[in-house]
Amino acid sequence: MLKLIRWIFGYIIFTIEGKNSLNFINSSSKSGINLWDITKIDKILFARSASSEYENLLKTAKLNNLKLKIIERRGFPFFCLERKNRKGLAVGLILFLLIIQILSLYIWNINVNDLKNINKNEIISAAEKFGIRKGTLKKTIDAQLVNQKIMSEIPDIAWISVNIDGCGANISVKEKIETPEIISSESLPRAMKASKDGQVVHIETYKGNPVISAGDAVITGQILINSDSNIPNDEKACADGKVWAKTFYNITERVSLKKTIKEKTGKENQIYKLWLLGKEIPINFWVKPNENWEKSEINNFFKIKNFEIPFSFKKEIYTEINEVQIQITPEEALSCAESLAKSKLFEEINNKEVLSQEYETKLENDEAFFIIHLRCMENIAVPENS
Amino acid sequence: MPKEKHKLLNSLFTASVKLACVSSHIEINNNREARIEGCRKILEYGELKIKILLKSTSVVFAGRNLKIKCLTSDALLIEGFIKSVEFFN
Repeated sequence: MLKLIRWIFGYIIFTIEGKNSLNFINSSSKSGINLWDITKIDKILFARSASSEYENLLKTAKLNNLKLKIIERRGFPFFCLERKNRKGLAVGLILFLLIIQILSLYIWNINVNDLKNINKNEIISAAEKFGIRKGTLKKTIDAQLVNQKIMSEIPDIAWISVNIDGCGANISVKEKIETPEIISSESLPRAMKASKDGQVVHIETYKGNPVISAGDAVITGQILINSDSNIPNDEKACADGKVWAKTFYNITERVSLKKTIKEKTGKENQIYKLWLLGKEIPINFWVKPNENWEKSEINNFFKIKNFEIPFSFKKEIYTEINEVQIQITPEEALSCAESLAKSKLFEEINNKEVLSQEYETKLENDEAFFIIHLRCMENIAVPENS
Repeated sequence: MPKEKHKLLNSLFTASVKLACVSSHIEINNNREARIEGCRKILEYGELKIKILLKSTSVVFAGRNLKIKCLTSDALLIEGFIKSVEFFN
């Protein structure tokens, strides 16, 4: 600290040559001049003192018939004096301080705490919608208002707090704990109908009277369980239950033997952009001549210890693509269709018990077909009003 | 009575001020640093020996690489390897 203060005010390193160098030290200390780092090499005395004391030191040296010689001037005043002709440096320094000052007025990044059910991007996009985005002026942000608006936008939030910390906006979110749904008899449907064609295997009736029996074939929309009341327009009449039935599905996927693929021609163009506080500044220009150019982006964000700096270097690569039609073998087409059909099958058998599955393949009009015949067991009863 | 009391207090104060003027304070940190308050003059200065005139006595610091790190009107700081401290009346 002392060293810094000395550097700020400036100090000199000098030598004293002569016989009575000790007298010089004693008389300068008596006249209140502070000296430090006093060393004696041979008969020469080296010392340091504040630059403002130079005249007093010179007088003391003269009184004692000694020769004072300045070896070096150090500190901020001399640093500036040496560079007084280098105006660019001063301008640069002022600009640097100005830029730092201006940048500190804006939001650089938005951080959201870890969440289980809500997507972080959802919170960030809601915050952006209500005025908190990278490059927003800090003083224009009304954190309380944004809190309320985000809460009304995302109903799954129990509590939210937006804190502006330095150049970052920290959003702390607490998620709502889901409460179990209470089913009242009033919310139950008046009847249950079939959601799919099938053959009834067994019936689980919780409320109401079943109108079908095991072994019956039912069609989509047919009433399966009726309300338990015989009174017409009874508001308390309701039906609930499950009807397990055998259902049938056919999953068909077809792939053409003529395939269109995208082939790179080898032509490539790159556009460089600077990204500063949410604004893009293009470095070079290039106009896409037609739609046959595919775009890919590389964003280089600069970070200091996980803190994102609001400055990045963006590279857009445009590659020319040519669409080429090729002929594939029937085996290739079939295997492609099979993989497509099987991926569809996984989506289809959601909550269903698969009883059997059969595969069928065929080639027709330059197309390969892969068909999966599926027999399932599932609950087909759905509320009548759905 | 109050006059006598005042005189007594005054004489006590003068005595304590005189005592403070004649006393010096030396503080030594390990064998590497010595702070001397109430020094009047540097009598001898070298790498191996520094002799200082205090208010009522004089002291000699002997050792190696001795240097005055800081010097003000009545205090100084010696740095280096101090081997011995000797007082002279």
